[in-house]
Amino acid sequence: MAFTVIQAAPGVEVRLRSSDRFHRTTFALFLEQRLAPDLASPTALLPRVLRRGTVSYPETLDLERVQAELYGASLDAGVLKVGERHLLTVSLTLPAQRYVPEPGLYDRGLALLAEVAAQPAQGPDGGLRSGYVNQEARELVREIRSQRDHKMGWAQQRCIAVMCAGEPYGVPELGTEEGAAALDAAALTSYHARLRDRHPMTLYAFGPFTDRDAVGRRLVDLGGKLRGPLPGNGLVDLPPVTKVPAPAEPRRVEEWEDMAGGWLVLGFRAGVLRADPEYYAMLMLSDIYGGSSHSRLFLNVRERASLAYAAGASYDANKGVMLAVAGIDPARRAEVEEIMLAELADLAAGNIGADEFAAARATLARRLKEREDRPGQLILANLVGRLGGRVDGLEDALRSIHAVTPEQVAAAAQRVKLDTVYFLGGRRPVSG
Amino acid sequence: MTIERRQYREIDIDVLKAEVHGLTVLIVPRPGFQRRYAAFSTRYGGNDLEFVPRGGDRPLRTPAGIAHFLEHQLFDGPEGSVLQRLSSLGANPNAYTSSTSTVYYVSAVDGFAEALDILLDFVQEPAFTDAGVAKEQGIIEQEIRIYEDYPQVRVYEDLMTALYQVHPVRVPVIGTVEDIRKITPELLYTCHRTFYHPDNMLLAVIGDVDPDAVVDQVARDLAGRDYGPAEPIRRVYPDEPPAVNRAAARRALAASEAYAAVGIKLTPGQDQRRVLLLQLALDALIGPASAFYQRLYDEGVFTDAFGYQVDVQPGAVHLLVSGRTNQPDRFCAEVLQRLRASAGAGIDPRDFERVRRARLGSFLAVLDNADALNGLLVRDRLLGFDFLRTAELLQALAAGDTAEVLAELADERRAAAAVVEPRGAEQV
Repeated sequence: MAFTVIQAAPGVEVRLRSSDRFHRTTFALFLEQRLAPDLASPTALLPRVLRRGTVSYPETLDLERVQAELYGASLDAGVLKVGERHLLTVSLTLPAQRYVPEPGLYDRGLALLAEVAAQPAQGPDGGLRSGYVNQEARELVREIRSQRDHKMGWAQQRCIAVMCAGEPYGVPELGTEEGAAALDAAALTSYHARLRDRHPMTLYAFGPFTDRDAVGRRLVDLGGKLRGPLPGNGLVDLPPVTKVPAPAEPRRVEEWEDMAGGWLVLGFRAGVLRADPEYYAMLMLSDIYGGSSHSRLFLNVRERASLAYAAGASYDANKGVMLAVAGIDPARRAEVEEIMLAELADLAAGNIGADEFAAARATLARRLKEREDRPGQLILANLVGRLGGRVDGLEDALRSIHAVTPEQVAAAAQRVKLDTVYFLGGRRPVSG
Repeated sequence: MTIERRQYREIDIDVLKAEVHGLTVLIVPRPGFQRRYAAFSTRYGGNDLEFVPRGGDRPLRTPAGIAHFLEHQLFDGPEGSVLQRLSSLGANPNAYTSSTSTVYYVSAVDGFAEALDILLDFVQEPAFTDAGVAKEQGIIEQEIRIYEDYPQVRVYEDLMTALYQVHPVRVPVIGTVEDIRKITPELLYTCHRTFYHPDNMLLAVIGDVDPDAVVDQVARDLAGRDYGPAEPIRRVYPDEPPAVNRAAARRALAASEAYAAVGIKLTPGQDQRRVLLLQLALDALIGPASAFYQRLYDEGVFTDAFGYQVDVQPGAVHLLVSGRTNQPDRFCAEVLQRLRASAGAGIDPRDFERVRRARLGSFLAVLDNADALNGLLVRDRLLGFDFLRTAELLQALAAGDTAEVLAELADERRAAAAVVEPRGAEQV
């Protein structure tokens, strides 16, 4: 069953789905922004400040306490990078009403969600509280720095920064340390107002609703309150994704840290976006190349050559970028790179086995079906699909996967061009 | 085959239980869910380093990391890579080894019965070879190196070594490069024969399945296997004294800032009610809905990277509080002081009621997540708990009940702290 879509206000959409299987209910609000160097820091900082307090619960402790009282309502606010969009999200999950003795749980939860999004705790001037803004800016800087503590993620992020320098996609999800440090309460307050006034918003709800229509009405009512009348210049125009070809010679960057292992990341331009007809062929390719334990990278880098514990590939269809990554012994990086590239070339040459092809098809089908059991994932998939220009229902998607031929997978592999070879290597000092 | 049904009406969950040729099978039917999930677990983990092999009479000491190594090796079955065969069906296989168990699991939508057959077979049919062991040593060495670079992992390992004097929980489940080089096919066979007997194992199936068909399938699989009679496994766990090994551990590592972890060792053998009381006490004392947490967050001592848990294992029970911080010593001192002071001060009934409700909410959240639910079913079987009674137990608890568990937190001999400092900052 698909989401029911209701227009609550100009640029504010409500998407509702019900299933009585679940023990919990999920509500999630998304505000869309473009990914840009000057906007990334305020977009990343704002949700941190919003989750500190609201007009009714100005102190963070009170806001935390009301969540606990609502049977462990889990309120979260954060950012997401999806292709070249930067999304601010505020979400709330609650137990299904039938399992708790408190009536009106959803109404109270939704009111809280709306307050967090639109009515933050105020300072004396009516803007965001400067204490929260300054403290969260410091915390954001610490969070940005701590990304280096997760080596694989850090290596992937660095590869994208090198490969997409100058493109919106190269802008980090959390912005920069300098950007965070430069923000104050006045700047962030007006940024919040701009986002609310003119940026697209979607409010999702997915849970075991006994009275779907009533929940729908409540959401529409709430959606209307999140935004006033649109200003004369209307909704913002968010630009389409930038398409950049790979350079003639791949970029090569290596960086050294004080660590034991090494991470090799190959950045590819896939040349296919979600809305393109070749999308499903590219999904199949990325699974055969590095998606699961039947994949070329897993079998050849990890199992056959015993070179790595972690090896795989991921494809961001909203940007058309594929990353292949392996955690390796730094001394053997040349060997690993050669295997990784040779496997892709082999697929491009059309050497696609019937087994790996069938395995990829079955794997993608399973993933799509399993997603039906996970409200959070399903909501995100719907949103990401809309942003990328393709929202296929389950049956359509399954049919499309089954229609892909090995020749189309080989053709997809031929479109994939190596852009950047990034290596994060360990040079641990002897003493220490 | 008799199937017992236990109904948990207040949460709309039924659990079916059968004993099939000595193997306990638990089935949690979830009509309407797409995902079908099966987990085959053995009560064998990183802690089981010394034991009397099945059929033997003297204890055998095995290298650290062997349970995890065995987990990797079983995937190389006699018919080739099991991972490949399962993922060819579109099924999603994986496994993990904890201190106390090894869990092999697979999820599928279509072809579940076939995936379950493969799962049952590969776990019971080892094919260890010198070449296979050598290959796995290469892969696991990389895995060990990867974890060496993670400050979150190192601070946990250091804390365990500080808390425990002799209990094997102090040794990392993955072992060291030196340990795993000592592993041979013969040792792996001995471990498999000892711990992978149906009597020591659990099969859990969660999803939209026909319970009778699952039980029949398992019975057919086990009928032809000759395991011989069940005999209790003699594990050698040294007696852990109440006092910690050392009160503090410190190391430097490349990191953005410090990582700190505090632990308090508790008396082993805590029952389910007491463990729940400890969790509630931690929620109320140091959780995000406490004034204590908010004060330290405001002062920059706590960050978003903060967590705590009560870890319950046979012979080893402790609570753990850890996080990223720029003031590691203060982090540790404040947490310990807060927990110790609670022994006298108790917990405010309003705070208690709040966290009791929040725990009920997080219990309900687990029910829709097969992986998390299985992990708790496995843990609870080891300990004789029943996770699905959590809601019922929570109803019966009150703030005053926490006094009995708080008293233990005051004993200074039981506490240890570990700190990983960013390298270069040791002198500061």
